[in-house]
Amino acid sequence: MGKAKQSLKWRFDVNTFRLLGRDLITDRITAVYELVKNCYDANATKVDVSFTDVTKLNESRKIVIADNGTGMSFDDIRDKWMVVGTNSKRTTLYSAPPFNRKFVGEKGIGRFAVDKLGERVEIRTKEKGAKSWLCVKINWDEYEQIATSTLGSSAQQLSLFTEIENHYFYETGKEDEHGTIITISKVAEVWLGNDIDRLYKELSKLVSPFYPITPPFNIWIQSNEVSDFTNRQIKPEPIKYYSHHAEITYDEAENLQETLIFNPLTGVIDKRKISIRKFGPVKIKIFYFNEAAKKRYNAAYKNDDTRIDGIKIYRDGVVTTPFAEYEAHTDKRRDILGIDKRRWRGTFDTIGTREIIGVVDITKEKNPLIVDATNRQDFLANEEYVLLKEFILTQLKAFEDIKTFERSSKRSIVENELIDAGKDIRGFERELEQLATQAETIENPTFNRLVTTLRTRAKETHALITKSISEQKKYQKEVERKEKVLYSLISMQEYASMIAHAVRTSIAKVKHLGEFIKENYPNPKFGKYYSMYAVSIYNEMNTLISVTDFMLSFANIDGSFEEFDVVELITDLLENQYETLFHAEGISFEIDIKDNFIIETNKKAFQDIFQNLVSNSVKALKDTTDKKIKCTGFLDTDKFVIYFSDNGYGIQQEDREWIFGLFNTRTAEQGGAGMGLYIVNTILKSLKGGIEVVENEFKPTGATFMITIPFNK
Amino acid sequence: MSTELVPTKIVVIHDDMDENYPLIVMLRDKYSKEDVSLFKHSKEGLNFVLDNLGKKMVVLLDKNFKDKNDISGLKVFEKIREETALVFVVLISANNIADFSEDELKILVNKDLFKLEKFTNDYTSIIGLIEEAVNSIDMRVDAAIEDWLMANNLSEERPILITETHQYTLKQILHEIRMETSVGRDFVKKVNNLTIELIMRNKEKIQ
Repeated sequence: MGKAKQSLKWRFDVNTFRLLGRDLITDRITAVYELVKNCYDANATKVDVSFTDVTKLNESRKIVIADNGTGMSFDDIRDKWMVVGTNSKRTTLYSAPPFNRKFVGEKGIGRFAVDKLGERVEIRTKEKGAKSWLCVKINWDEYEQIATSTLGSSAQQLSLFTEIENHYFYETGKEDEHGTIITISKVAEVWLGNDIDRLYKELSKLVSPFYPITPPFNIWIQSNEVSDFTNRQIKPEPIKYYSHHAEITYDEAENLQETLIFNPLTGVIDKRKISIRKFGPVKIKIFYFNEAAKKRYNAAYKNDDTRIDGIKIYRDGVVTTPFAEYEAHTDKRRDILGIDKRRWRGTFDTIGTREIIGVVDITKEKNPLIVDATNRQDFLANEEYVLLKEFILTQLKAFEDIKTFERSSKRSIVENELIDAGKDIRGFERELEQLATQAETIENPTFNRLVTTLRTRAKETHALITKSISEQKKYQKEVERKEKVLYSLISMQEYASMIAHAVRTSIAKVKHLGEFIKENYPNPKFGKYYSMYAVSIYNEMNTLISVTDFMLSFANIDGSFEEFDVVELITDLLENQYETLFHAEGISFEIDIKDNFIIETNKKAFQDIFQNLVSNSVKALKDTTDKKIKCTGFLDTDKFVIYFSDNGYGIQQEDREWIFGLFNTRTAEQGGAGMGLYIVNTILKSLKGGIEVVENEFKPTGATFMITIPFNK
Repeated sequence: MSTELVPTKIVVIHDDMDENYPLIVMLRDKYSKEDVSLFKHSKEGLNFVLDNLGKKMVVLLDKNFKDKNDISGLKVFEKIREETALVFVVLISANNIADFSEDELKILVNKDLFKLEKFTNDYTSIIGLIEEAVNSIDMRVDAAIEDWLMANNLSEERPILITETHQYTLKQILHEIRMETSVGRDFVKKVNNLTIELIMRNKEKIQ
């Protein structure tokens, strides 16, 4: 061994780099998200994220992220972008004026992000004034090949990451062009429509829905395969279906900050004015979803409640917390405001992050002391931040009071009194407990016996009250169930009276026809009427039979309510139950229902709606050659909308309302009794919905019905 | 055919009847085809009545109409009464009387509904009610004046009522009575008094 001073250098191979990246970027959504954040930091006003041929692992698949930001110089690329662990972003906090953007991108994470997304990357970048575009090509797959091919050989150093050469070249460009275009090819994973949708949702949270960013930062998503994303600008989604909403602002000139407070007398949230707090003025918007609202929301978004995700803090319009890391599992998301933590402490009726969408808008100018912690995972835990957190939780308190208020007003007075009695008796028990402890020290058998008896009594009473509460709850449920049945009964009563009127009219007609024959037969003066009236009597009797049949079928409905999916019901009905009939009649049908909708009602009655519509359509299609039935549906803001169409002979303009009347039919010769649409209308009315004839979808002939069913409020 | 000179118009407003309905057939047999008009929509029937206020009229009116655009029989009755008390209305309904609300009954009684009948009753009895209405109309002074004018070919131009400001021919007086003006009402009252006066003083005899 020589004595000459020798040195050893740290080296690391390709795999180490990739391992590092995997820890930092766990998800491809995060990867794109990080790259877009870099565009923001580069003062871009527009970013295009485009996906080409990514739904299959084609050769041509690629993702391009292009911005019109400042771009990078050769030095930037060499000394910053390609240096692992660069800390350029930490030395300056804000981007160049007039943007003055607070950097949101994670320190040097972009290169890992591109690695996550695909095997080959080309970076084209240019600063304003530069003569040409700098293009750098990085082929991760080749690194890998080198690493594999050299395994076991003597030239192992070749797999060292730092020694791999990446090619670059220049392309001429116009002087005022600037920006960065990252093209990732050999994309690692398939991106389907819902993956892009997930990305869309995440990116839509990057910018505050309420605070305008100037200069703007617009993100566009493009896909050549998913039609929903052909050149679509990312916009914060309008918040829908919430049950309560409140917002606060401030008046700097008057030194006033609004804060929320629940008013138990009115049952609504009021605003109060206080002096601007130490952390500076803030604007907050909170949308709360109570149980019913969450139900509506879940129905609308197919149980994807990841959108209800708590309170986010935006600084100058850009998200700061939860620092934009994508976490697919809502339960694993960081809860820096400690909203959910309070729940583990067992506070009753607190609100969790899954019940609210909130936006807190702060600015670096007005809230200078709310600063990011160095690990960028939270804010610096200074006094101002602690106060801000408290302030936010105070705002939530107003909604928590509403939650409690709604819960107790849902309970009956009796139940509330029982609960109070339960609390009293618990208090009484505790006091007895103390008394008993004290009594142990006093040797007074009578007193001790009395205390023991009292304790037993108190326990018994407590048990009784607990039982009463649960009985009361059961009773309350029963009352609610009965209310529902009663409601359907009321509509049945109204309905029965309509039917009775119609039946009487029908009987009167038959009677008058018979009376005529009785009075006049065989007077030849009225000869032509006798046979005519015989036919009328026969037809009228047929109508009466169909009415009584229907009444019987309605009587057989058991009055039970169940939850079912409207889409499944319609699909099953059209695809399975009517398949043979449609086939025999040569009818082609199409179902296109966008959203799922769960409804709680009598399933049989609901089925009747579509059975009647189908039966009408089949009649109307009798003379059509290319027979079609189509059913489409979607969720609107407060109702479910279904269109049911056929290309049959259609409905006359003047009959559009008339056809919903009992016994009103234009298909008497085909056995129509004028019952179907009357039934449909009645059932929908009992659901507080409706049906109407709208402009026919199929041209030139056909009919389209629009059915609306409101959400339960 | 009825015996009066000017036939009374019979207007049937009912959406469950058609031209061949027994009651219509029999009414046209009893009166005449052109004097029996059928309307299946309440508004059309009402318009016809309002356009013919100068004529003797009996209306057979249904209470309920199925078409959402139709107004109810009760509304038709009220609208007629807003214009005249001289049109006789017979209301028929498939409902029981017990199904009428108190307010509905009040309107019918206070605004002089002529008759109320169930639709399920024999049509002959419904026709009987129409006949009663027709006869009642003929007992009225305005009906007598109209008959007289018809018999005399409407040629009488002599003023028979002279007030301070106006002169009225018999035809104009008929119009005043039918329009229920104070001149018309006053004239009817005077004619009735005069007739009794003349009979009692043996100046005129009724044959």
